[in-house]
Amino acid sequence: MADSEMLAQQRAQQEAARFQQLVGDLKAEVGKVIVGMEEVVESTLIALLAGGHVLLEGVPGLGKTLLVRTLADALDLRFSRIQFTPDLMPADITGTTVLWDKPSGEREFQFQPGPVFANVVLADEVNRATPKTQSALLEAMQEHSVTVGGSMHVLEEPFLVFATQNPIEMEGTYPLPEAQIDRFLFKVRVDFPSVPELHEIMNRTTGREMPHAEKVATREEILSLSLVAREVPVAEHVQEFALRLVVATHPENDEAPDSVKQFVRYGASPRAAQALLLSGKVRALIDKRFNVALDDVKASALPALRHRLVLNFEGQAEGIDPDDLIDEVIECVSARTKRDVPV
Amino acid sequence: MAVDASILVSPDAAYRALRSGVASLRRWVRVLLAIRLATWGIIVAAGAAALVVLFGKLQGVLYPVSLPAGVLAEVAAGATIIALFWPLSSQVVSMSADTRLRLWDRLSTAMELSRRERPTGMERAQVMDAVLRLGGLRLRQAYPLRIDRATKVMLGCVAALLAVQFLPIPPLLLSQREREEKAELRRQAARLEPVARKLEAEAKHKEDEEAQKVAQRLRKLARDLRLGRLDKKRALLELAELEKRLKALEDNIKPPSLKTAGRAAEQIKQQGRDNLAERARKLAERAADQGEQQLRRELEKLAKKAAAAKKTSELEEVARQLAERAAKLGTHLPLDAGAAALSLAIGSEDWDAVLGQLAALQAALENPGRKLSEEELRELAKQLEELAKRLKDTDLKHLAECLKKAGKCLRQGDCRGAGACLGAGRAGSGRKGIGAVRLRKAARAAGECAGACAGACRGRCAAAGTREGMGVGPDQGSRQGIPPGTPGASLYAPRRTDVDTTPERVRSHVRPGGEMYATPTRGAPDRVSDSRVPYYEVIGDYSRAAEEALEGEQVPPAYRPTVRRYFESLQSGERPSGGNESDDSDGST
Repeated sequence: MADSEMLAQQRAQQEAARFQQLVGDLKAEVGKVIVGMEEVVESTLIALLAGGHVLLEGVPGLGKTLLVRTLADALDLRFSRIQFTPDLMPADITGTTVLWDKPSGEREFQFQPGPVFANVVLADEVNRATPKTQSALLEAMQEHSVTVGGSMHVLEEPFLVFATQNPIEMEGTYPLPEAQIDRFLFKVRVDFPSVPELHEIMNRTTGREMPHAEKVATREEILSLSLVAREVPVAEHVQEFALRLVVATHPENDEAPDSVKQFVRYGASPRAAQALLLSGKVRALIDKRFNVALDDVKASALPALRHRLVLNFEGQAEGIDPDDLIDEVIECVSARTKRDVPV
Repeated sequence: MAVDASILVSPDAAYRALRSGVASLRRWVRVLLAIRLATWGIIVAAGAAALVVLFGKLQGVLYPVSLPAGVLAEVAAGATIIALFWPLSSQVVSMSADTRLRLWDRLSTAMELSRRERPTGMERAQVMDAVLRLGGLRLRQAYPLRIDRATKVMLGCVAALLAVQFLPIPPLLLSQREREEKAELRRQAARLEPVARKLEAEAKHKEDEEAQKVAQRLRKLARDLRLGRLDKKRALLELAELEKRLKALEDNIKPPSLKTAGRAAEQIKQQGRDNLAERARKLAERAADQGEQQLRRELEKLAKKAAAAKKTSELEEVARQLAERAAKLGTHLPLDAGAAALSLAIGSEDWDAVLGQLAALQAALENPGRKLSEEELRELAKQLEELAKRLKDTDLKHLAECLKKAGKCLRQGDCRGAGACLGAGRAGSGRKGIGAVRLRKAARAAGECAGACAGACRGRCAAAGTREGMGVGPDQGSRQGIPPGTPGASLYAPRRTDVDTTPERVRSHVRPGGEMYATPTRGAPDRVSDSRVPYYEVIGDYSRAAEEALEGEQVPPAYRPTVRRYFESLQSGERPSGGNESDDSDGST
């Protein structure tokens, strides 16, 4: 019995080592193409390995599409890009059934899969499409399947949606409904690069040769390592901390700070807790640890919670940034968490 | 915390190492917790105690050092007990260590996983990772023992408490009257300290432990006064207590010691043994002359026994046996044998035996039925004078004086006078041991009043038919040996004593109520009458009684000089002065 236990332990250690190596390779490959954006890249990788979708928000031209495409190239995953426009129809996303002539001369309806049938789907400017079109993506994101003409078509795993949003052009757009936003694991803000980064970007993109990411892992490896990440144990007190963070975002809760009580209408859903713990597990393995730490949860709090807080009118009128509220929540809950002895 | 290599191959060993490591952490944390709680407790206690002591000092109340020290000790003990029972689980300790050492919750997660029954491979890997991390740690790295701000504050509070306890109150906090009082006390301290040092040196020289303690206490009192630790009231109380102790020392039952003249003690003892042995040998010779060989042998044995006697009781037994043998030979043991026993008792510092021997000698001398020859008187006088000479430079110099005067009386044939001198030992009889002061005082009194008898009754003890109480008149005394022209011989008239019958008045003092009165008193009987007991037979007793009355303060102060002058005049043989003599020069009121 001891031998099998030792074997299991060694296997786990090997898988963890492989995980760390993959992440390192991915970062290196992505780094060949993408300049800077370390946090964005890491959040994206974490979401990918956690099997979650990511909402990227940033002004145009920052490399959001390039990042997702490069990621797909490095992982040998099928990539598709959907440019959301106001006239985009749901069938343009999910696919449709068309009538086609068989060689025998007969006619039959055949399902033509839409761009959503890929491993990595880039939904560009998702807030420009109508809610009806946006909801077509909702089923796919949640169920990993689409239903067309009464038939359900399962999407191949891994299925990851990277949606982008332009925070500038909000006129004529359709804000994503809360139900859809809640399905994104992370909301990552892409900031404008710094001057040195811009220099590097220019050097790479205006030269003769364009950088290109090489394949570092297969689809099966990604799936396997995603399962490994889910095996990372979470201690009771860490899980409790994550739950208290989520609960503290609700204004009716006693643990919520005063700013949350003042500016938040609705707090984060239980999916936020799932996002915190799943992303915490991936972070732990990346950090060569076999356990989720409180700091992992704190590090994931901003991307996991910022899109899940619904501000009230006062919060919107005041222009309150959800990130500030989340920082206060973290500070408040951390202060109440006794972690040390009085010596 | 060392990690055994076996944990690398045994998951259970890893779990044990983990629990052991966390248990060590827990124990160390408890120690630090006790120190922390004690630090804060002492800060509060020392601060409060300093305030209490300071206010007490300002009010004149001085708390002993043991009180605040006891409080601090109790606080430290309480902190230790609280630390022992402080809820400190392994989980809490491991979380604390994770935070302090930035272990990213490895320890706490591992502690939790170690309680699961069927851990997965990943969970085992996590425990192993935690154990390996724990192996590289030191306890003091996680929880160092350092002197932080709280410790410095504690030391400051304790220093403040010590300063308040031992340093004098700053003059700024005292009133003008208190400052003057303190200055006066310091002056008194300057006077007391040399006295205390001298007393201590003397006590140390005499090896008197009680006196040393009193001297040390006096020196401490002087030091406290100099440092301003005592107020006037407490200083007076302490002085009163020391005075009592000193008086008790003076009156204590510690017998006089011959330690100041150790050689004298040895010589005295040897003198006693030699004298008795010599007496025994003379009796043996007499027995041999009378043909009593058996008796001679017994007496020679007794002589050897006397020479080797260590205790007074042994010598007394020898003397008793000698007396029996002497009676068989038709003679009696000379009195100088008793002197020999007295010598040995003094040399052995057996003061009960000294009393006994003095009483026995006195009884023998005052016994009218005892016939003493000139030779016996001479020998006894010689023994007593030799003993007196040896005791002259010791603590028993008053006894020596008494013995010397007794010897003088004996040379003049005054047995009763000699007995009166030796009767000084009765002053301490009945009590446990001899009060040194009483012995000295009684000896002085007896010697002063009786020793100056000048031998008016030479040979009276040996003469037959002497009527008790009749005494000897001057004419008779001169026929029987009282030298003519002896001072006071006229006073020795047995039947008549010339006295001054003029009443003597003594002026009283003004009473607190303002009354003043005088009480007439008489210094002599109304008329001259025949005395029934010879003067010289009673003068010793009466003088002794008078001295005791004066010593015992039974005589009012105003009367004391009068009484003393009266007896002194009797002793010196002068005619008592007449007229009204009193304390005040203007006499009666």
